[in-house]
Amino acid sequence: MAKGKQTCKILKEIRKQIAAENDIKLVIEECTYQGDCLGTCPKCEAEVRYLERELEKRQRLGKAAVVAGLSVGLLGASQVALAQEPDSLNMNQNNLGTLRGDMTIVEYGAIPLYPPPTFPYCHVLTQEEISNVAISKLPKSGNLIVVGGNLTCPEEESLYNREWKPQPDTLFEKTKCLYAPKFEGGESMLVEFLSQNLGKNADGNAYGDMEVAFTVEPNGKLSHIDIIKGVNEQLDAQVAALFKFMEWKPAIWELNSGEKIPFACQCVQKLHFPMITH
Amino acid sequence: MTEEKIFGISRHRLTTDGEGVTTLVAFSGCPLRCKYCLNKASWEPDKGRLYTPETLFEEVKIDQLYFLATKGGITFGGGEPLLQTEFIQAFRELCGSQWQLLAETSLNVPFENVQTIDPILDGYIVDIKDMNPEIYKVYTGKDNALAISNLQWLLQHGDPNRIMVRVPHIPDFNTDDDVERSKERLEKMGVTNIDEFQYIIR
Repeated sequence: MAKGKQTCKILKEIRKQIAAENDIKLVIEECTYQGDCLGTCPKCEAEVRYLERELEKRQRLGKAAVVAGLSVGLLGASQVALAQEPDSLNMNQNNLGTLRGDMTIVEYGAIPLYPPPTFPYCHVLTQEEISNVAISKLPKSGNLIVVGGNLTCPEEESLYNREWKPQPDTLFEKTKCLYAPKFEGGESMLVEFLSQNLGKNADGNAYGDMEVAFTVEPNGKLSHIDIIKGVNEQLDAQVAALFKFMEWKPAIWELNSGEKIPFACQCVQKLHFPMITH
Repeated sequence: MTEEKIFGISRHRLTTDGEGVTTLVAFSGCPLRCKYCLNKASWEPDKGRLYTPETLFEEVKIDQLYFLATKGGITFGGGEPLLQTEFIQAFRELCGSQWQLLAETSLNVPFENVQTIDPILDGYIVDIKDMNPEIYKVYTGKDNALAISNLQWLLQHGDPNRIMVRVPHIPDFNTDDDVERSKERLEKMGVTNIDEFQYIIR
């Protein structure tokens, strides 16, 4: 087994132990990546961040967070297997050939959201359907919610705090988009999330603009993640993997009855990776 | 504000730098000129990227959970980390007492540095090269008297088990007998943890 994979396996076990000891639900998917593994990846990093958040929650609730020394025995047992792997770093303290070369860290600039041209999963209702539809029967989750019509939005307006301009004679005339999809904590937290989870593994030589298309489902999960404008293969894959772990506040629609419902919404997020200079 | 050049950071080291999950932080600048040094860039104090203790802490704390769970932490290497005592002291104040802080060092540094840093560190990985002064000088370009006296002081001022001394077989510079003699002398000094290994020349 490649050493990176073995490191990944050990770190995963540590995360499992922390989760189990603190009653944190942690579902770890089997990694199917076949290429060179550095021992961690954005997916693994996102799990660590999740554990940290859950531990903080426990502490805020006055519960003990059990971490210190929890996995000492686990690591000791793993060292036997690892010791069998050739490790050039162990041969000479000055051999640091596998370090990240020039220590560059990806930084982020402004992150504008592009207004989606249309909502996915929409079905245009006929006038008859509109009059007959029972709001209570509208799906509260899942990919399909029948709202009808093609939406357009003036591009000069911010995604936030705007009203959609519906086509005439559709349900939209009587409804209003209260909240556009939003990353939990807002843009600053999104930048922090990306920076913390991407910085260590990102290709520091990569720079340029990236555009990530995705759908924020009514339950806040992201789906249909697609890098529609990429920087390079490695960075694109890392960013796409991170988006899979995100949870957003879904778009909220207010019907004229006053009922507010979450619905699926397609978004495009632009990320800017500046050129790093030293 | 103290700031130093760091030319490399290596995360998730599980067996090479002490117990637990560790991150190796390699400072630029080294007083030795070892013939088989694979990172001669570390000889230059100006190589690398500038860090303050704060910016380094912000970068490495990403693995705090692993450090705490495994009683790991940061291993300062280089280059020669004991030339950066002020930086490491400030870093300790930021990371607190739960992180293990180790130094991979030649100990070929002023005694004052060792005296200053000892209360800060949890342990040492000392690359002693060879105890024979002539072999040491030919291989590193420096005298080893200072390194040995610093090691002696550390052994007498704290738990000897916090110190692991590496004794390498250095092709074309020392023999198996030389290594045995080094080990015997170290044991007489009170070293309890010796790591004998072979330099592999690629």
